Amino acid sequence: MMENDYRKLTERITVPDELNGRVLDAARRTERAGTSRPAGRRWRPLLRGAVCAACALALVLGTVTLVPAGESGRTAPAASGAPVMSSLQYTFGLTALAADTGETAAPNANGGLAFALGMDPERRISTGSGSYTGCLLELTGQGIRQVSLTLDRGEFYRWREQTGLTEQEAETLMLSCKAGGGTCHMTQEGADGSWTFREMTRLGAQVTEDYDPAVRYGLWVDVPWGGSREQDIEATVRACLDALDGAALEVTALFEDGAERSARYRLSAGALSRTENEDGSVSLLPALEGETGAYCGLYAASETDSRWFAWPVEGSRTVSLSFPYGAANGRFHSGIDIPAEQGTPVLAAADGTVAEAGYSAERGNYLVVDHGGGLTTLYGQCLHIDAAEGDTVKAGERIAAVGSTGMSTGPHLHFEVRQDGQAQNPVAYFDSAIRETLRAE
Amino acid sequence: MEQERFLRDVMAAHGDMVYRLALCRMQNVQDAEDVYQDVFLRLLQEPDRNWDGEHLKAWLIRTALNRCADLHRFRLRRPVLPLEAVPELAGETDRQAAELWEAVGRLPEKLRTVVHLHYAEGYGTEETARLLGVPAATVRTRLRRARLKLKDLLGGYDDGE
Repeated sequence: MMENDYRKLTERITVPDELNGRVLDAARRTERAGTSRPAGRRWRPLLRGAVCAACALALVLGTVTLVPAGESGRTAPAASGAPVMSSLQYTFGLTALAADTGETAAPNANGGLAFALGMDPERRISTGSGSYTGCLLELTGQGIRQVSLTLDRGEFYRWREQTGLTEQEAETLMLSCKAGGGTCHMTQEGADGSWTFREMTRLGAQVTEDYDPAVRYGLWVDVPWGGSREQDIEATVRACLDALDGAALEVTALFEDGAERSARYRLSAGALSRTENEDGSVSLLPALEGETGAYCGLYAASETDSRWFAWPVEGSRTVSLSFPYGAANGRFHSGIDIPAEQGTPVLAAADGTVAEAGYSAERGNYLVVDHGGGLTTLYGQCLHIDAAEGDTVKAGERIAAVGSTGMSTGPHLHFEVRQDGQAQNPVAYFDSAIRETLRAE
Repeated sequence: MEQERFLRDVMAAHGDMVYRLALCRMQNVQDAEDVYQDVFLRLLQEPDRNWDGEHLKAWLIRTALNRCADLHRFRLRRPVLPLEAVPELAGETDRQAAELWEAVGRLPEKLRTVVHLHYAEGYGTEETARLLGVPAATVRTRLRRARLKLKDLLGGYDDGE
């Protein structure tokens, strides 16, 4: 019996004689030195979450997918709103995925990209000079010839992982990597004794390379290794995130036909909340104040592809947590609820035309505004509606009043955002200036 | 000294368990000793450490696994620990036992950890799941995959399952 054999074998292993004595000595020394736990409590629960997420999301990649137009149903949201050059053969799509579990996060319809910080030590490494954060960017697509990346703080590193190698192959890769000044290691991981090779090579703040689908680009920051105690690791992680807060990231792909596409992002650090969409896909978005984050990481808001909304209720800056956006308990809530006094003005979130105004038992008096490019907003539970179908409205224009006319327990605005008819988390459509004023309760 | 007695007691009761787990995970005597020392020093830093036995044991396992993960950060290579490097097992002449030791050492870390907790420490799948913070079904899957791999590595060795 294997279990008995293994147990019998391991039971014979005992603590080496002098080890307990060494521990006692060390305990006496630390007691005299009077070590105390450093501060940094505020991040603790958050980072606990991050540690738990490490197994599930060892590698949450922000993935920039580049696909030939027409071959995929998804095109960049902005491309549909802005005039598209007819010569443009390739467009950007966006996905985020967790390589470890194969869990894919839904493309954020507003172009946002979430990086959860990888806590897997094989993939996130701090050294004396800086940290390889494990926040990776992957470019996939067809017809890409060259990739350029720019970051205005920190640097990029090249990340490559090859599995199923023979020892010889891994050694060869090690030698060529080391010759190029890279950091790399090889481990024997496969059950069949095969080797895995991993490479991390600092590339600087500006990178232009021929496209290689096996290469991912990570973010490196000038935060040195803080120690192996849990609180030191947390402090390092926190410092890494802070170092990247506000950074500008630009990704450009040059295609075989000479066309070029770029995406620009603004990074913000903090807690990320996780919501499940109607189709079961997952979105990670910056957590609002009062909301518990599932992960900590970076959120990259697209500066090229995003469309931003104005806040749709005058005065109130609260998002109700009693029935948040997303799938929960077998039901799906397709929007957010914004509680406010009865009669408070409801404002159009962006320029558009009123596509529909009506009444339903569930939503009460409601109004749908079409903003073009497949993007629509819905305003429900209204006391009365002050616009008619076909009207043109401007962002911030009063279109209705807050009420409680459908299935509702108190006056609030039910606010929905849909891209091509698919419900989206409305939080993705408010820029950081608005997000920071919001409270979830 | 009260603290020292506490430490002695805990090391006497659970020291071997922590050391074996660290050795299984690290596959290196030096690293296992570092993990061991770190775990017990951290225990002293815990403000309320007078848990009951099972809770204490669970804390030790969790902390040991976390420390192992930290230390694993940058190994040039991670070979399997040869049996001869463990003093207690150095004289092992049974070929099957040596092969089993090496086969377990070759398992991927996730599988090796559940195999060790389940078979060496006798934790059930539910308890193992709580210790690792993963669903019980995941533990069962890992055990199944580990058994398949072990069977493979041991050339059809009958594990009695």
